[in-house]
Amino acid sequence: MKKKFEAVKRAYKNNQQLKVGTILLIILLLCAFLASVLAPYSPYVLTEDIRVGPGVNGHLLGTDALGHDILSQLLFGARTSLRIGIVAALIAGTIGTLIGGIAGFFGGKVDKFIVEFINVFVMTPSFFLILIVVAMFGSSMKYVMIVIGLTSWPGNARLMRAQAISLRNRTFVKSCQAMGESRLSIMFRHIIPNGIFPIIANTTMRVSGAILMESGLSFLGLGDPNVISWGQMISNGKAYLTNAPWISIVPGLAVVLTVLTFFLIGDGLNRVIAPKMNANK
Amino acid sequence: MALLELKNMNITYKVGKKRVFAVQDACMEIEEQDAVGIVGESGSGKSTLAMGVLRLLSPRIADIDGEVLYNGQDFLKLNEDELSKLRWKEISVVFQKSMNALSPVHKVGAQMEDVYRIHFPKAGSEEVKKKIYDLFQIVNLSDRVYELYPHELSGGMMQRVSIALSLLFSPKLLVLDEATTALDVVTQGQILSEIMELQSKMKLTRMMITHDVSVVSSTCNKVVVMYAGRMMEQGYVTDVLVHPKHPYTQGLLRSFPSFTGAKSDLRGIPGSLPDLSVKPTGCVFAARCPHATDQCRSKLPEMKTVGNKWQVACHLAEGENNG
Amino acid sequence: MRRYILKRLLTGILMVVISVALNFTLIRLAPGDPVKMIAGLDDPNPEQVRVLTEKYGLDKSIPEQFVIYIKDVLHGDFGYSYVNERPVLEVIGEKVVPTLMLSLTAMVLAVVLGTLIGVYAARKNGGPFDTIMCNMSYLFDSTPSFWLGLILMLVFASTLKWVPTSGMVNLRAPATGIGHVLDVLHHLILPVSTLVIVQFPYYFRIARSSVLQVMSEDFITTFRATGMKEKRIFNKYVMRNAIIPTITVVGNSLAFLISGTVYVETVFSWPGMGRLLYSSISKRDYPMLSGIYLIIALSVAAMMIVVDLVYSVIDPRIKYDE
Repeated sequence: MKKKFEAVKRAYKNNQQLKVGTILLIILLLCAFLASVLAPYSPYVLTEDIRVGPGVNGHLLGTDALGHDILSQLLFGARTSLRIGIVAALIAGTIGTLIGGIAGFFGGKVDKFIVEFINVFVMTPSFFLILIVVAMFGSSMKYVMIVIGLTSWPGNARLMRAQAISLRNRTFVKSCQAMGESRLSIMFRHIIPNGIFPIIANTTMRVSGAILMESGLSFLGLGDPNVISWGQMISNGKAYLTNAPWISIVPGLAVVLTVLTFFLIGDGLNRVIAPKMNANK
Repeated sequence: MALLELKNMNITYKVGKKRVFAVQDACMEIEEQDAVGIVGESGSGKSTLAMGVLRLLSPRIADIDGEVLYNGQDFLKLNEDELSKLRWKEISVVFQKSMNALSPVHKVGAQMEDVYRIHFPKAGSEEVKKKIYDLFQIVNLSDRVYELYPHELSGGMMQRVSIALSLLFSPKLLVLDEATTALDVVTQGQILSEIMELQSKMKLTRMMITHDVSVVSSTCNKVVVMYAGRMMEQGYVTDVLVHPKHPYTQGLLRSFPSFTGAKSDLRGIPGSLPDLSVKPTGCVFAARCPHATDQCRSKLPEMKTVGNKWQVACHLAEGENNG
Repeated sequence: MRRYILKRLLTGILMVVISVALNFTLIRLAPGDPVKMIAGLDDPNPEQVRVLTEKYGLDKSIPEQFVIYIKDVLHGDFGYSYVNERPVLEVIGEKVVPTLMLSLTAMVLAVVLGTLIGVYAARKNGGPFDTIMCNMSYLFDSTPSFWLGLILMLVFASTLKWVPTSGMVNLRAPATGIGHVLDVLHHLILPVSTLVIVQFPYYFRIARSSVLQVMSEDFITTFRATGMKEKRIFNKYVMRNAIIPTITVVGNSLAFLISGTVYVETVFSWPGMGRLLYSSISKRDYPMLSGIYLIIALSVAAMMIVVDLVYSVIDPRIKYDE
């Protein structure tokens, strides 16, 4: 584990993607944390300026049809996107690690059953399930996070399973078994910590997917109506596309940038794990 | 004239801005119908040397300089077309991982046919088939293999397929790159004796790359010992492997059980390969050498001739300096 | 071989049953009066309540209700949409064609373009074209399709007026015959382009990475050593090996063909399954939702089997009798 992180540090120097991604991430996190300080207006306040373009009357990115300051909304929207994206990916990461770890480490019938279960699960139309759940059970942020997390774990599970299978036969795990350490303890103390790295990379990638999904849901009007979200902002601007295009364009760019950030970091981490691909590049 | 002669050959891998000096200053001669074993630990540059000689290293990943004279013609100066004409007809290879030596989604026979048509594009399909069946017989494979996929064969069978493939045009020089390493001892023995038989029948010249000294001693007449990209000692097997002059060769021999079966002191050489991206000032083996002197650490030893075609790169060996 | 197909078929059926059961339970578990839920209406009339209670046995337990539902489905009865006042299957049948038109066109283009560019980029690995395409694939992968649709609409429809903004036909000037076809094609340009742009990175990356992977295989070195021409090695051996992952993912995407276009259909008011799905959700038309869900689950299962079979033909390493 420690060695892996050392490797990350070293690889970081030659990894353009990781560098750019991390810088972007820091900017994003600052925006989200300092939203209330940085935002010139409250995101909910309706200013006198209706649909004014970027730069007019001190509205750096303009205002929407109701007079909301877009920059302020954008900053607060970052909170929603990041929170949902990160929490959903963490849920998926945790479930995937546990299920995959159990399947790979325990093997046998348990493994067979879980593999079949994952196969079936992958083929259920998860997007559709998310829509139905959100539509029926309400679209509070909590539900959105949970349902995205609950439907996107299989990738992690497969990765962790492969890791557990390869670790299971290593000498240090065998010797733990010989010393009488319980299986659960071996799994949590050795298998998971040693095999977690690809899951970290994949989870970072999953944040992107979750943010895209959230923006899509709120674009369809199925997001949490009580929080500010970029998808919803894009949707609000739809009707004014020709005469006030900035209302939709600005939040869309924010989504692209945020999603890109996590892609870059995730892919950068993947390259650290598989330096062979790096050499090919 | 030697069939193959290497003169001051260097191979440098380019990894980003880093340079890895995988093979340095390689000089050797292979005479017709020689069987030369190239031995060394993994990472010693022996496979790289073979790949370099065959020009199978992309210029994007490796720089090669020096001379590789095949029948007096410098291999490294040929263009792609000239090279293609010589490939497989003059020199062929049996690769390390024979399980992956052929495309997994094409049938064995079809791939061999395809290779045959590289040099005989107009060959009729009956003629090609007959040629391949003949080769199968030579390497003890049944005709059935023709219609099988690589994954349907065992390791030993795939190895025989690889050998049959390499004999397709009855080449002069056959390079075997760890060709029997992955096999079990019994199959390895069988295949080695088949190869020896083939060699005398087809008048092959053989270059055998292996980390297994016992394979060299039982199947080759000459040996080259490599360490960290440099040639340490070379000469006839009866000289080098019987009275090794180089401390590295001595260490290498000690790490293998004696051929006569007598129990001897079995030990490895302490330490590990040096970082190949740094050019050492002295002898590359100095750090692990039990006899290293100050001279060894500061000055690169030159090849000295100590007997009939017997050369050692060691300050401590007595002999004529090759200069 | 037969045993293998049988096994796949069983897994497929199991998958459909599980996902339908999941969906069925979810709807029954939703807060609110089940009759209202199933009718999809806030104030179903007494006649509807009576019919529904009888039809689905709403006074019975959920497993019993599930059995009743499955029986109906097996008889071809997918339910009745009270919101649309038409049988579910009829509405779906009507909307499936425009969706397939849109998503199939887009997918074929995305697969062909993505694969060709990916293969080419892999051959020029590390060169400027490869670098540019890799960065572009990242960018488009990060772009939400609905937003991209809006931008394209703004540029090419509203500003340049090259193509219509939305819909499938020009309602103001309905055409017939070849004119109708051209009109639909004209309307198809923007939504298809949007889908192609957001989908192509996927196929691009798979093609690129599998070509790179195959090129690093040992057998490529064998063929190079034999003096085989690079072109032949590439066209015959690399391509055949590298195409397998692409075929797998194409199969997987085919399975989700009818549900993958919700955003684009919404943006461009394309009268297909995606919009039907969206409007059924906003109107809480549960019989319709269950029907769509079932259709999707079935098509997914069917595609899965087809992909497996195709796969076993192109990849001899797959064993049927395991």
